[in-house]
Amino acid sequence: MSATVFERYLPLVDDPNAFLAACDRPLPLVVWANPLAMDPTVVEDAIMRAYPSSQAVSWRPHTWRLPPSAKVGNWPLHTVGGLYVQEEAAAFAGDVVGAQPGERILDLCAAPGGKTAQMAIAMEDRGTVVANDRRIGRLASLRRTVGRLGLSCVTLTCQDGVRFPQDVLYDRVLVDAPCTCEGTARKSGRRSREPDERYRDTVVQIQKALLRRALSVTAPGGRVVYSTCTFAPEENECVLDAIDPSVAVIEPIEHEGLTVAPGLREWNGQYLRPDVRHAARVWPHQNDTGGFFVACLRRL
Amino acid sequence: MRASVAFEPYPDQEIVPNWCFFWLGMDRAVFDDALFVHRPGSPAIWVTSKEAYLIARPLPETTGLLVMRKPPPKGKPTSVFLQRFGGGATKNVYTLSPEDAERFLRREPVNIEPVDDRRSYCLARTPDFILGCGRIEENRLISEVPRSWSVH
Repeated sequence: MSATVFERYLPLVDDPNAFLAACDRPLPLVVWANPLAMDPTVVEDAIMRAYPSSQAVSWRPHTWRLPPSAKVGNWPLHTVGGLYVQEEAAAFAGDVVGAQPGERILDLCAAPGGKTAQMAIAMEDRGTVVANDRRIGRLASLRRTVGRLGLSCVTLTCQDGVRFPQDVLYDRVLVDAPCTCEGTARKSGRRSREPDERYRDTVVQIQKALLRRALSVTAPGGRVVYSTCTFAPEENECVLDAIDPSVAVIEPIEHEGLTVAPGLREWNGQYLRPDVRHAARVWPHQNDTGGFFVACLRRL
Repeated sequence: MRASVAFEPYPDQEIVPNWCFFWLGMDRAVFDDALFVHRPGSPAIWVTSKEAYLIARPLPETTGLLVMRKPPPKGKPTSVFLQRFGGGATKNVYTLSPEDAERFLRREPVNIEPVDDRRSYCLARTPDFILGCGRIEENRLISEVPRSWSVH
């Protein structure tokens, strides 16, 4: 991979060479078991029989890393919802929401539904997860995920997240925002490109609007998780910095077993609100994952 | 076609548990935490969590899992519904070998000896997990899983 693609991030990482090398390696295939469908040991046995070099992910239960070349999409276990393929760093974002049984949760940009599924499973399928996506075409993948995994507590809606109705308050809201996706460079078939600055400018406005709307539909004391799969501070810390500190505070994130870097306090000479340091940057070389950014905000 | 009305609780909360008890020998208590819902004017029945909040805005595309496109006695249970709730079924249940399970998911008929009713919808499973809905025709188990699931 050309170092120039991510050159501007090299001063931000602890080991630039390891970062660039990791971005060139294919991602392990990560799957987790769905305990609503079957005993996770059934999934584990099948994985170990097919791919004996697979390893359990240390920081997350019922989750395994398979070789990058592994294929599970045609397994009967997959067809009947026993397992789900999800990038490991993306699973971290879903877990940070901390969904509890009986709660009312909104996933504002939900397709294809991996994080929606994580939350519904954490809730033991009790309560409400409203899984929303702006585009009706993407809702089809969400519908397949919900049906295949047997998630009865999920309601699907199709609405521009920026205009999501404000007549109901939620205990927790996830904003897995559209972004420039730099952190997915390791996915097979993707190529790293020079970032499109014009697109970035546009998407930053959308990200800020989504986060503002998420906070406006969160009950006082409730949690909003903001995440992207990109490295760009403009789409991460700078979006958080635009939030009025009287509306929400950024809280520390538990990440036992997963190495993360703190959010940046400064970017391009601009000092950011102090609590952005509580956000978590997942760099690809630190855990052999994709790149991700996660922040946990508490509504005041 | 896009939905035009919100989901509401289904007027008869017992109709599906009773059907499952009668045809699949399921304990009605399996549905203690479930709420059956529908869109007024549509025959389809869906199931969601009893603790669910039924939102009206934005208008939901779906709420929970589709149970049946028509109510009993004509309705056929969906495979996703049986996978989620059918673990305790004791009647009209067929436990398949791994080879027959793959055949079932490919929607190919499986030769079986009928165990209970000779013509009915039934639940197909392996020892470890539920495959979905089937029906018995003579001595054959006909797969009713969606075409899109077809395992190649």
